[in-house]
Amino acid sequence: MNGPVSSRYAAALVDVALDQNNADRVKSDLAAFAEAFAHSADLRHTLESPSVGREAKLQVIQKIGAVMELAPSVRNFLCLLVDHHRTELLFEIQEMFRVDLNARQNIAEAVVTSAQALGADERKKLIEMLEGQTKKKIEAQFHEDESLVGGTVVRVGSTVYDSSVRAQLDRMREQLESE
Amino acid sequence: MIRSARNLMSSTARFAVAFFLFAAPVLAQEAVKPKLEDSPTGQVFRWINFVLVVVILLYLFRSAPAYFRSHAEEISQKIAEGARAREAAEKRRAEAQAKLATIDTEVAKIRDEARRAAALEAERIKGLARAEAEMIERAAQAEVAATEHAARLELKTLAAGMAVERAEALLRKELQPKVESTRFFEFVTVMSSLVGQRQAKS
Repeated sequence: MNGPVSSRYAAALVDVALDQNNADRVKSDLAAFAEAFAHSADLRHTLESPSVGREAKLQVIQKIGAVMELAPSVRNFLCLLVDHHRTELLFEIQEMFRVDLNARQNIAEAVVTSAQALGADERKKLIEMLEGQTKKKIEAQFHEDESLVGGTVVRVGSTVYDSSVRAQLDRMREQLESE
Repeated sequence: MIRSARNLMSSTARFAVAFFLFAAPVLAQEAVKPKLEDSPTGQVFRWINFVLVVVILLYLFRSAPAYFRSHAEEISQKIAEGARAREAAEKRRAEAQAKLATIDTEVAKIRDEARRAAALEAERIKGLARAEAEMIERAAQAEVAATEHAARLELKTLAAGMAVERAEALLRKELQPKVESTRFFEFVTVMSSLVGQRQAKS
């Protein structure tokens, strides 16, 4: 693990993003590039191979940056990783960047899964409640899962609040089997 | 005995031939020239002939007793050997008769021992079979108990699964969007207090 190294790179990028006041764009651009990096073996090989020269790697980053319209700060950061031979830490840095940025912006992430799609009022009510109780800005992702039968599962950080029928049915099954 | 007689006859025959050869010239002269025996030469030969006959007879008289003695000793040794062999044969016969006399007892004794050993072996085998049967019975009982337990568990799991499936089917019918919305707001209310408690703790 290169936790401390990744943490330093992530903190530096958060500093730049907050200074330039484009943290959301940096966050999404970095995630987009990380996804491309994960899915393209050629790109990984090009950026990680010692047989490819520095100039060639930088040109690749600039071209991809142009195509993906990455923020200049993100392009520069990727060039820095190439210069320092740290491209293999990209995923770890991206995760630490997200955590660090959320912490500095007092943001909490919530993942909401429900059996039926939640309406706008329901979503608003849930986010307001979470923001009111946690005193943080909530960034929520909403998903649907019919296997829940009914109810909702909300994950905030590492805490899970489960009101799904599936969970109740599972508990009922365990109780019946243990009797 | 037969060999000794043959040797004696052979020796006698050889003596007769030798006597004839020595005496033949003298007898021939007597036949051809009857008057020559009275000559000095004839007298000399007659005396030589007489001496030879005497010498041969002396030799025979001196060596014959030793010859017959050695034969007699040999015969007596063989008679003694025969007696010893007869004694040994008699002894063996007596032993065999003694054994034959006790053979019935020995056979009975061996039969009794064999019967006792067979009885002990049969008892031992019965014991082993009994122990083996008990072990098999215990194993079978344990297997039956385990199978029964597993069947109960399986039945319970099956029943629980069926009950849950039935409940799920009923709930899917009952949980309409309006009911779900009501439940959602109730959950938000409950969750609000839970999150508040958690925040207060941290």
